[in-house]
Amino acid sequence: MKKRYLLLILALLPVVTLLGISMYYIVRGPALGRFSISWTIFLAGIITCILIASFVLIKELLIPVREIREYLKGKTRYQSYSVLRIFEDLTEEIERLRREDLERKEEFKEFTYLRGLSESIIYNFPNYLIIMDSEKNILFINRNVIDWLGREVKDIVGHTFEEVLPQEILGEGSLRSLWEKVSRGGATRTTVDISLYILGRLDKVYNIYLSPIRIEERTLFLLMINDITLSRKRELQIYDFRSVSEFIRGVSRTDFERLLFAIMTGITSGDGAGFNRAFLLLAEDERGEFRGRFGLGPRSREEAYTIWGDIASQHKDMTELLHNYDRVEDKESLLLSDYAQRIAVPYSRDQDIVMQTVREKKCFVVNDARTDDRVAQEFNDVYQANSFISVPIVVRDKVYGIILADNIYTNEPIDMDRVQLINIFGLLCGLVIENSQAFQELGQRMEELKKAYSDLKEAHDDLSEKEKFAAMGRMAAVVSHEIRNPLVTIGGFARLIKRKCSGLGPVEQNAEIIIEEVERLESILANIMDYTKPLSPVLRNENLNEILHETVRMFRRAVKVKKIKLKEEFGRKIPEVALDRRQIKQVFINILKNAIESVEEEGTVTISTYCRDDHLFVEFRDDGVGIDQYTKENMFNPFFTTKEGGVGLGLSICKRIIDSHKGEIEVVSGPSQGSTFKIKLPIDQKGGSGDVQDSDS
Amino acid sequence: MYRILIVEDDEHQQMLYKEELESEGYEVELAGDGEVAIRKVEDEDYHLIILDIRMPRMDGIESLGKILDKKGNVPVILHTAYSSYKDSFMSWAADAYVVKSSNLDELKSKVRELLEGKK
Repeated sequence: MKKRYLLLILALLPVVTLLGISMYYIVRGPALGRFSISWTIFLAGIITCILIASFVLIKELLIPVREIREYLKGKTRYQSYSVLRIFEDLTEEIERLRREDLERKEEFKEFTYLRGLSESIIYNFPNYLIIMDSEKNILFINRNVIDWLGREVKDIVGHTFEEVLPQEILGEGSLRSLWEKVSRGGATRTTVDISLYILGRLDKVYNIYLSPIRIEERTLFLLMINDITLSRKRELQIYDFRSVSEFIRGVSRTDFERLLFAIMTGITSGDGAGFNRAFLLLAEDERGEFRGRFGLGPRSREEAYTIWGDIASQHKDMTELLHNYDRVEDKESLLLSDYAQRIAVPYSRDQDIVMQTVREKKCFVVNDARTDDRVAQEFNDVYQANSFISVPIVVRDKVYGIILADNIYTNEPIDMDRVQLINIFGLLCGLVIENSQAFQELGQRMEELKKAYSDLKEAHDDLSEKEKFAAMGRMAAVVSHEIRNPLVTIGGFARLIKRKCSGLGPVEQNAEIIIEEVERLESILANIMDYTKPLSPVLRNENLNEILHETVRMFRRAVKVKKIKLKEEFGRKIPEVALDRRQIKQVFINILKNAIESVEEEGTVTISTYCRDDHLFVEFRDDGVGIDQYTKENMFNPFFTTKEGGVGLGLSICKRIIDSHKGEIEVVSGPSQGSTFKIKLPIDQKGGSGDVQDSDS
Repeated sequence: MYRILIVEDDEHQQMLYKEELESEGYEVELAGDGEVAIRKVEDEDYHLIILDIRMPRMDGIESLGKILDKKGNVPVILHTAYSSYKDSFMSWAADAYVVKSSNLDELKSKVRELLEGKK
């Protein structure tokens, strides 16, 4: 812009000079005679300058006018270096200054705020904050310290910490030793936890932090004391809960009492939920009430102090408390059973706190039992705790029982923390019971399966045993017939020889031996063949006593020789029964023969008959040598024998015959106590396997 | 003198029965199986036939039927080692059923009974 004006001046200069020279000649008259040419040029220059200045000024003045016009029309904004521009710049400057000022003010405000905040934070810091000099003098404290120590600032600041802080924190191994360590410059920052107990129950836990701080060449000490009681209790609660859970895992699921004991221990252990006492009430539907099953906790305040003192002094932890159950002999006493069983709440007491717990399936706290409508007077008289909690044990959506817990001796309030924990124990209890029930059901099911399996196995064994005997029987039948034919020849010729050589001494005798042996073989074969032959009894109504009497007569000689007493104790009103006379007689013969063989000389065999419950009973009782267990189990199996040379078919044939008559045969015996064979026959034989024919047909 | 036909495949037994019955005073003829027996029955008359059951070619039960067809009035004793045939209804047609035994008393008494009872 300025360049433009310069060029304008340079261009105008010769023009104006020429104009001045021409004016000189025009006005060179006498009036102007005294003006020299140089004055004229000077004058011209002045005029030129004035002209230029006017031009520039006009132009400059016109530009803003145009600009304003355009601006007003909204076409443009200030561009040129005009008055407005200057004004604008000034405004901007003022604005900037104002902003800066504001920012400063803002900064200052924030600074003030931050200062206030930090002061407030330090002052209201939840921990106890103390700053001391190297002489242990307290320089600064936060408000918590004032509240904590319950003294005024002037009684704290300026004094040494040893004068001010409570003894339990200063004690051996705590703050004093910490100070020694840090003030001697050994350690930079040190922290230590101090646990304080009251009556064996964890009361307070402090975390103490001591650190040197350097401010302008001066060493000060920052002491921070943190009350970590709550978090430490939480940790212990979790630990206890885990101990209980682990203990439960190790207990047999059917050991109900031990499982519940573990849970109650969790509720009453000092470090965990820390209730003074806990009781378990179980629903007894038959009696229509919740009745105390057992409890845990001291019986009196004195006992409480003794027990808790012991626990604290012996540093017993949860695991040890849990194993207490196994060490204590008198479980009834340990579990306060007598006392617990006196606590009862009938279902009908609808408004009762226990019933409310049952109904809503959540826990309730009673703070003042004496005035609470939900607690009955008789309940109070037994339970006595003024403040307690009632927690439901829910098993499969049904309230199985109730846990009642209280702080009867310490009167500690039942805070949310404990409520939550005991709730968890309640849930655990429910799970344990549910698990235990499921386990028991499983056990029952397993027993059933075991039984079914053993039945099946027995049936299978029985079947294979039967199959075995059936196969043996078939084989025996074939072999018997093949042997019988040659025996006929041998025996027959022996008889012939005997007859023809009668009187020939040894030949006759030898032939006799052959005959006897063949007869023996034939009788064995007859037995085997009888056994293998299918039985189809031909039933006729027969008098059992009569058949028995006939049988007894057959043994008359044997009885006489052995001097055996044969007693007949026949029932008088024995009805006729449909049976196969020949087969039944064979049974009687076999049994009576065995009985006579088993008794010593002058022994007794008693045969009795009686009628009972639509059945006829025949008993053969002897006072003989008796039968051992093994024989008893096998005596009815074919080919089982204890007799030398016996085939072992006699009793198995008896059993087959009795079975085919739909009867039963059993033996009661033991070694040296004689034996009794008992035969049971149904009086009504209409369902029998054979046809009943009239005895006179 | 009574004539008895013994139908028996076992030679030794044939000898035994022949000797025993002859000693009882009967005239005894032998047949080794059912077929031979039937031929003999066709040709000659017998007072009694003792018939074994288990025999080659034709067994005693079948032979019994045929014999009774031809000579319905001749008494027959079934004589066998098998007591089970007693329950077979075909055997009921026989006049007696005797289980073989080395002791021939039962057989002899049955023979006597049938022959002399008939007399």
